Amino acid sequence: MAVTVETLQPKPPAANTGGGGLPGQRDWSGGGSGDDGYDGRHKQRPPLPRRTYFTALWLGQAGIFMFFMSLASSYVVRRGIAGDWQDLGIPWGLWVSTFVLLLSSVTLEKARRAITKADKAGFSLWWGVSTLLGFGFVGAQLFAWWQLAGRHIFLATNPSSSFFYVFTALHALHVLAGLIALVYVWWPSVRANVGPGARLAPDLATLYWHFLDGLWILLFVLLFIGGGGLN
Amino acid sequence: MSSGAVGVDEEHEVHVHTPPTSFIWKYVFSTDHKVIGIQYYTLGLISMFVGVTLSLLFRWHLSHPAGEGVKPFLEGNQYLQYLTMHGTILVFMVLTTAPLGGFGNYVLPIQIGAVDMAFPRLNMLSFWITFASWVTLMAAFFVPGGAPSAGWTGYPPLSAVPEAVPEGATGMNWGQSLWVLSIALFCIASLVGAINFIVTTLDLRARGMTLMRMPLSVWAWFLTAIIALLSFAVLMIGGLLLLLDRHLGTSFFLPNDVWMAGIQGVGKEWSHKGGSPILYQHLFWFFGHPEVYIAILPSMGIVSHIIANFARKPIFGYKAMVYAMAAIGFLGFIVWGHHMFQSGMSPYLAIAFSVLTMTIGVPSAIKTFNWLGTIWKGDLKFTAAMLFSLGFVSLFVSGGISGIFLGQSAPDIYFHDTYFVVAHFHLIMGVASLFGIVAGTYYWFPKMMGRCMNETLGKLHFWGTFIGVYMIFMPMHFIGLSGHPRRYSGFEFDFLNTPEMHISHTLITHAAIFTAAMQIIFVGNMLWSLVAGKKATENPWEGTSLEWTMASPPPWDNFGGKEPVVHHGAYEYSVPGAAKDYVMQTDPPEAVPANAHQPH
Repeated sequence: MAVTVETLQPKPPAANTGGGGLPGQRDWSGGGSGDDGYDGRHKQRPPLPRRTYFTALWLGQAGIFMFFMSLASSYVVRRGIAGDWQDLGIPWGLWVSTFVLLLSSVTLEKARRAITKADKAGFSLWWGVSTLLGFGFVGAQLFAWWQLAGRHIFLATNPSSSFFYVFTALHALHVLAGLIALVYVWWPSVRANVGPGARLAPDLATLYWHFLDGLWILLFVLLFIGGGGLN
Repeated sequence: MSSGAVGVDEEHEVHVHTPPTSFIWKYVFSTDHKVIGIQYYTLGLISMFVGVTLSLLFRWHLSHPAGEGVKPFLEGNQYLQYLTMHGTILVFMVLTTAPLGGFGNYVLPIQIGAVDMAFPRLNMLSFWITFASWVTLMAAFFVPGGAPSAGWTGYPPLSAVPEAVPEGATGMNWGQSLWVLSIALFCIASLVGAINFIVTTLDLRARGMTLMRMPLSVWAWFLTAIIALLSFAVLMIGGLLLLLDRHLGTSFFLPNDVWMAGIQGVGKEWSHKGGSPILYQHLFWFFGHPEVYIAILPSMGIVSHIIANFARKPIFGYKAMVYAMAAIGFLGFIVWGHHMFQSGMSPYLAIAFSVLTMTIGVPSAIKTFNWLGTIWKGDLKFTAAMLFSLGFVSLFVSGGISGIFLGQSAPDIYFHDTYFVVAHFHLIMGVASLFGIVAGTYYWFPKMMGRCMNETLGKLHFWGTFIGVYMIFMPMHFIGLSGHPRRYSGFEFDFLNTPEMHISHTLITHAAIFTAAMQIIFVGNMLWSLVAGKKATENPWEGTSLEWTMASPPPWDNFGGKEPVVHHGAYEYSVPGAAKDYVMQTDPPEAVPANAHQPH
């Protein structure tokens, strides 16, 4: 979903109720850049309130949460039902990735505070750092996979490793989507327009990123408890 | 993309918003919710044709059993393959696309006074992902091994082991994998679509359109979308883990003691251990039960809307109807175990699921009595839409009552996996939901297409279909009670190979052919009316909701640039003291005299 960074403050109250119609009926056909940036093929309508985008994101996050929670309950059940489970020692690469992800959330918040202070340079810097840390997270996860491969632990080796790979891969896929959002906001033509009154895209991307962060904490704790500790 | 300009352009760059003119942007990659709705509906209609044809094929097989010198009509695994595809196509590609994606997309924005969905491009994306899912599913017929044969539920171990059929036989090869992939794509499309529905209903209502003034059809689509959002994700996990078991050697669902064709591990090193098919069942049915409410709730909303219109009375107990739908949706998430009573669960767990299942009968009964209350002493107009809506109520009761029997864990020991179950879900989900779709078609066709359908043909269609479906599914209760198992393609057992069973099957098959033939009248009526039907006025049914304030068919931007303002609820029919027997939602406040309503 392409998101513009133009302001989405409501249009000034239109004086153009003219041309008949019911009392108080608003005319949508007035000028203004009220649509989502698309010319031609799109219908005129009042701009969506900022809240709408956040509602949509929260709903998406609810769906993603159900996705991972059903995997988590499968994990708990599978671990308990048969005697073939071997606890997987968590490779230390995973700890690194967790730290990197948490750090990236912190730097993302610094970037957001820079927007509030209209500090474009600061925003660019911290947003860029966060994006790199985001890629670092994925890199650290791949490193953790490499560590496991070195111990000859692959997807089908044991149910515990199956879950490990499935959890980390699915989470990383969602992180990639988040990275696309981060890169999009960091793109020069987009980040030039970010300001205290035009911050929908960075705010949305940050919320999603924090969600992925929180989700990762939950998954990490689950894997840690179920994995019998650090290897 | 504008550069952060605030408010109105001072410049003279007029943003011209005209509808697209080229075919591809107008009808194929359109972001207009009306076009997308029709696309979903058409997909549903085509799938309906495929799914029903498949059922006729295996029904023919059942009523012409193999015998002395008589070859079976379907060979090998074809019976199970057609059965699997019939169920999958109808549940996903018809009952989930047409009522929600089809009518919901078309009508919801209009009924709340919006110009389009909140995210039109996302809407287009969800249709095309659904289409990709459809193509993937249909492709299963044409790959090596043919269509899958593990049922619409796709239970492991059968669905998780590609070698589960002997060499050269069909039904368990690429087709099963494509089935899983198709469902995964469908899940993604549904999740994205659900977000759009919910956000649109919450944020894009016109002024005056409070939640409690929304038509019940909107409530139904809104609640259905919430259910879809929370349940499809779980199915995706079930499908993903199944795919991993099938192709990458994992053991989520595969235990270590599977016997196939008499050879443990199919004659080779069996690497799986410790997985549980029951885990899959939990994941599947946690989705599967809410799915049946996704299939029925939109039809309930449509039927409520239509019955009020043609009884010329407000819906009886509007708020109760809303709360009942919400209760059904909520309770639907905590009863999934009633699909698994025979899986070896503790009887105490079974009691819990059983009691909760019984509880769903309460809001369902509230709705049923409220429909009756709406009809009671109404000025009834028996249009085709009304007939199908009343038919819905009848089928909902018939199908629902057998659910009470099935929902009790002890009797279910006997009923499980018999035709009694088949009768139950076909009446309440298959046919009732379909009646809602058909009722909606007769009701909104004039609005969508600008032409009326032929009412006489519609009535004929109704009576033929109504009698037909009862003739198909009523006998199934009895053969189920006699112990006839589901999914059996032959009659090798003595208790099945009786004249009564064969006569029943023949009767059911003939009824099925007759009912299918009746649908030709419906499709013929639609196609003929598209070109030669009487031109429809703005409000042929004298309805109150917002879709009846606009031209038929509606202009591209629905409301011609002016936001509608709503002053009344959705069911102001036969208001005492009002000028006509209906007050539209956008009529001035004075249209309803001050003392016309009881305060509430």
